[in-house]
Amino acid sequence: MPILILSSENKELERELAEIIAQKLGYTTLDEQFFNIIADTHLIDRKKIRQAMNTTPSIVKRMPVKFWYYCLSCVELEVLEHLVEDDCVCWGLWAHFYVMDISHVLKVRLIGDAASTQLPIVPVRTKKQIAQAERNREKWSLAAFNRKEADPGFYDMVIDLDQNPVSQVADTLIKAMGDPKYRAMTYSKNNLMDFVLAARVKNALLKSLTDIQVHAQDGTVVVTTRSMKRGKLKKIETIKEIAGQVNGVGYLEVHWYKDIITLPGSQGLPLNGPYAKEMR
Amino acid sequence: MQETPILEPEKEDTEGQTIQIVYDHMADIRCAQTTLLSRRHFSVRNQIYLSNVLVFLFALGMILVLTLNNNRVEKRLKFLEFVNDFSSEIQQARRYEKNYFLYGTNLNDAIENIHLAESIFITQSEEFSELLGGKKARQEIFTQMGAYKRLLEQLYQREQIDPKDFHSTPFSKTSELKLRGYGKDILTSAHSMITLEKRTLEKTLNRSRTIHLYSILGLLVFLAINAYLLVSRLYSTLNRFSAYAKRIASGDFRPIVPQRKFRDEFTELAVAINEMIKEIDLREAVLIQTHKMKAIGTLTAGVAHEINNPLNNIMLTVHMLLEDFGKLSQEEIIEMLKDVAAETDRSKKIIRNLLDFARESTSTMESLDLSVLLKNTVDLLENQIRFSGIQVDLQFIENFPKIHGDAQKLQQVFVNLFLNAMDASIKGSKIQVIGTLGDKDNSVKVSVIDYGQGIPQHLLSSIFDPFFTTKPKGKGTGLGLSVSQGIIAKHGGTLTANSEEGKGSCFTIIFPIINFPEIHAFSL
Amino acid sequence: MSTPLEVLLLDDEVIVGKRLKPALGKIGCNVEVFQDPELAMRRIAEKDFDIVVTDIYMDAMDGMQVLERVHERSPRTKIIMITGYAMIFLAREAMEKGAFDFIAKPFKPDDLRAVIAKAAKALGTSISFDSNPVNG
Repeated sequence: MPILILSSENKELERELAEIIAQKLGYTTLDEQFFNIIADTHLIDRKKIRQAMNTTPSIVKRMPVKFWYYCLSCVELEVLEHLVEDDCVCWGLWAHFYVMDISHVLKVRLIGDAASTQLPIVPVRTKKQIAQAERNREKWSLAAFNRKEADPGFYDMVIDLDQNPVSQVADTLIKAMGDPKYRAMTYSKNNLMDFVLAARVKNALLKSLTDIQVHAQDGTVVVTTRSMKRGKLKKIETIKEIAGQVNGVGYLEVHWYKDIITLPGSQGLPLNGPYAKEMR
Repeated sequence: MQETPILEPEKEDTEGQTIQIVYDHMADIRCAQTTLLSRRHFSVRNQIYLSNVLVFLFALGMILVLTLNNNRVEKRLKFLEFVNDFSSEIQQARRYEKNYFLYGTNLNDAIENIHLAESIFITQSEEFSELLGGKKARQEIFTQMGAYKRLLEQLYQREQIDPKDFHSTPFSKTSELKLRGYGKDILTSAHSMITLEKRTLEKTLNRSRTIHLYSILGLLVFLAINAYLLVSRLYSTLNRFSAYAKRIASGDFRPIVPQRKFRDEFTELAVAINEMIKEIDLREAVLIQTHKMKAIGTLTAGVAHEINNPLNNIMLTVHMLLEDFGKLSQEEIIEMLKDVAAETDRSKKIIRNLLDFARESTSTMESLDLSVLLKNTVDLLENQIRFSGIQVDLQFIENFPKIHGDAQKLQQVFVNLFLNAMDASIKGSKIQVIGTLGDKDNSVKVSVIDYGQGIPQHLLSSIFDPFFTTKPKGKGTGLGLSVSQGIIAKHGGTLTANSEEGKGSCFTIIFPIINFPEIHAFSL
Repeated sequence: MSTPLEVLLLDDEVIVGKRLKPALGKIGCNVEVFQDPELAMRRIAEKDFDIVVTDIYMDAMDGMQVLERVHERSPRTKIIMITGYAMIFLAREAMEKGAFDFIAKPFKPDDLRAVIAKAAKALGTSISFDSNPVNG
């Protein structure tokens, strides 16, 4: 069955929707509490993990860039590994960024600011607050994944919660998830496994290194990186050592990038892989 | 886990390579610059100075001539004055002589006058000796005057000796006659001198007038020639430069080469324009490269997918070999291994097409068969064509003439035209490429025709503008057609577009046929 | 053990048929190999197949059309798409039109065998194949 990933500015509604759907379909929910598990697994402060997912890095906020990338990759790894187990509704974790081009993931964007039916009083946000929040999110998502979170073209479905009540939305989504085109298939499952492997390697490398992009396919891993000429050989050695120990790596290559080449995919033939679009 | 080889595709400095490509052209430009500057200097300013000086000299000459003439006239006038004085003295003497013979008085005055006349003659005749008609004439008058004077003096003396009834003496009578005779002769001479002189003066004045007229005309002509030379020099140079500007704007980046044997202020302009050409050329090379990179990006995606097929064949074959190794016959094993080898070759070919297109090349102009080039292009674009579901049809006439061109760049142009045509067309439609002789002699025409959505009339004139695109942001750079047009212009050809919205478009390239021997044939 | 699975394999690459026929034969499939979609369609009109494995981009006919026609004619048949040009919209379109599964080339014989095993299970029969983990 397909995986459902929700994204919006309104966490309360996400939770509500996720719980309804999960209940009806017998799915698990993967939610914001998961951050705690992630933080514990990777021995990072829980607050820090949340901070990394909300703000861009800066010295002032005591969030250096290297650490920020590392936090992001921890979250990515744990979320992806969990998604492999299938059948879950994911919300509040920004998982939609990791699973571009997986055909059995239904990425849904919820817009609108409707008050949740569960909570009695929800402070209605002013237009200015909404705009500010949107700008922050956009800045963060651009920095982390080179995409604007609010870009509707990125999602499979966009639903306006102001126009549709939550129960109706839940039904719509359940029906959509039944559509055969979102069914998992070997191809998409393999893609997801590739993402997991890439995330594993990246996470291992980012513990000590910087500027790492990883692409994996069927056990073949390509690590693309950059460094000063002097440190090149040393970095290669380090990468070989660390990545070689990751479970599932069959064949490893290290690439250097210097040029800016226009992204392939303009003719409608995008490359697969999580980082193809981000390779700059 | 296997060995972990490291692949480091060292990409060379793109900018260096770009400059390399233009290097040959730079050599041309540099050569042109030095030749332009090494000629002798003959500036426009110098020409203006020179012509003014010449006009001044001409006027000066004119004035000199006129002044000389005036001097001559002055001389003549003085002569007339002299002759007048002389005649009036002689006439006065004759009057006194008449008086003497009538009343017996004034002989002294007569003698006095004749002496005066003589002295005038003596003092001034030297000056006017040529005017008097030479020494002989002068001598004659002198003699006549002398005779007249002597006779008068004789008369005077005789009278002093014998004053009584002097007038009736025969001597007196004969003297009277003689005197009259002499007097008349002198006056006649003097008169003829005057007449002669008057005529000559008239002639001289006439000449003066003629000189005035001609010199004015001469000056006019001179000034006209001057102005003409100056204007035509400026005009022709300006025309030439405006022609250069037009030529450069149409994409011909050959440097300006010396057209005259000397250099001047315009040479600075030519040198500056050549520098500008160099800059534009460099930038165009960068644009061509950028566009090519974009095309390569597109093609690479296709190749990446196409390679999956031979890879799959190899994978299946090898796995089955491993699985069934013990059970297979030798022939079967050999067949499978041969399959693997063949599929490897196939992969190589797939990549090589793209690599050939993608590699940095120095621009070499060689003799090309366009029908072969287009077939290669179609092969290169096989994936895109197959994926789009469009059929490509190549039609070239028999004995399609070869043209002179840069294979890589021309392929880039055709890749661009094909990709555009495919973007505009729907699945199942057709793209035609037709190669025929051009309308003018010594040219060929290649048309790329699609039956897609066409281009609206109001956009048709802008499609060759750089950075013009109707594709959504991120999809098109807008470089393709302007770069293509630039490349074709460099080959001396033209790229034009015809389109009808909803029916399709036709892009036509016209190449001139230039026959050059292949450069390689002469290299050692 | 059980009756062999009737499989039709359609791919314009000759080697695919050559290698997969024995490979699938080992797990109890009776494979008929075709390179020409037209001929394949004619055969499908004659016989009901349990499983159809087809490529997508072929010169004569689009694999998607094959998928549609087979699904229309025999909804029971499990159709598996294999292709070198795997893309997400293609995958979703195939699933929408009724494909059972979608595999990207290149793949190993075991990969296909695992999918066939799944298809067999869905059909209610079983074949002698251990579903090993696909990624190693």
